[in-house]
Amino acid sequence: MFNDTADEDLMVMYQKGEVRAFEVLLTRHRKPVYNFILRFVGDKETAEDLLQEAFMRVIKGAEAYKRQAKFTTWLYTIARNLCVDQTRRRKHRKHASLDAPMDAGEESGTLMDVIPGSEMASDRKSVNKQLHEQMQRAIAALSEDQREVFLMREFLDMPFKQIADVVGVPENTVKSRMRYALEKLRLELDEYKDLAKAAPG
Amino acid sequence: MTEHKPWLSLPDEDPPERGLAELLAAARVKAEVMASPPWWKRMFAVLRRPPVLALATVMILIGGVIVVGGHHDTASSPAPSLDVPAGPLDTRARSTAPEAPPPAPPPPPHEVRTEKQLDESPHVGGAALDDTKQAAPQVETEEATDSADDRGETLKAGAIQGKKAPLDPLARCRQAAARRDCAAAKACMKDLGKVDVANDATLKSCL
Repeated sequence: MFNDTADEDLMVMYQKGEVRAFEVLLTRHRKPVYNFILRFVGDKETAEDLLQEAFMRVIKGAEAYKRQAKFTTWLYTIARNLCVDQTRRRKHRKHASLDAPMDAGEESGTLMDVIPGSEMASDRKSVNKQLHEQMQRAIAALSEDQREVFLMREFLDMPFKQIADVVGVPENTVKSRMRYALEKLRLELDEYKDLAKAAPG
Repeated sequence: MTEHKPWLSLPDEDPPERGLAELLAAARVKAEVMASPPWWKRMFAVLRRPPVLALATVMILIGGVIVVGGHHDTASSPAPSLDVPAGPLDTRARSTAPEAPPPAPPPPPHEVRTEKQLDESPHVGGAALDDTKQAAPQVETEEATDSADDRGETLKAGAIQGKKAPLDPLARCRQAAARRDCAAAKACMKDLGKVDVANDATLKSCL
């Protein structure tokens, strides 16, 4: 019924009391928002909590939503702010994370590399999985500013202008951060070539 | 393209169903609240609409112009402003007749006319007396009409003043002569002193 309706129209319908409109919005955006948060914070449990919190904030703030604003801009601004708060809290607590680098240097290994994992150590069956993990680590190694821009641009296909609106910086700054993020990732993923060569078949 | 962007091969993960029911329940509650906002919220929403704000701005501007304009007029000419609220004061001012300019004293030409009237009817006797009695109020009435710009109050005051006003001594003498009260007429003339009665038929008849 509402499958072809624009997000903004669905939000307006929800403001008028149409719950079904919100359900469509939830179905449409839950997965991409979850993956954005997951790649930002790198932790599934935290990502689930933040996803829940993000949509709760959408519900609470639904009355204040204006039709002129793009719904995805609003939604990802909420999600991004939650992620930034979360990473700041994490830094403050200085809890050891399995995915976090052990030393201050970005090129050091992580705890995940040291702990003998049954999956990774046992057979290394799936080179693809290893590659994915490598990429996830490379993304996590990006600075917060670069990571958010990179995730929105590459995984959500957002235009630079919209990213600038979400992040709250000029568009040129967004482009600059994106360029640095790509350079860094290419350096980090140099190993990818070796792994790809080592992969069976 | 994929070669340059290997991260695009990263698979998307499905979010867990945990918390979904809770979200939908919260959404339903909020939808009910939003569907029936309180009257003041609706009113506020209507008042915040641009056309209403524009209208309010125009009204405020017009009101300001009226207030400022009225104040300016009052400052420049204070007299009209006193006129407007002075309805009762005006009535009171009218009721206090003494404050109004007093009626002018009877001018000599009228007296002359009265004398002439008396002269013209010296032999009528009682009729002349009647004429004199009527003449005085008439004269006074005319005077009051002339002097007080047709004001009824002033007219009455003039009439009262006319009754109380002392008669001219010569006229008193004439009245006495007309009444055939020669003694009184003589005494009167004696008081006046030298009076030329040669041309006065009424007085001459008594002497």
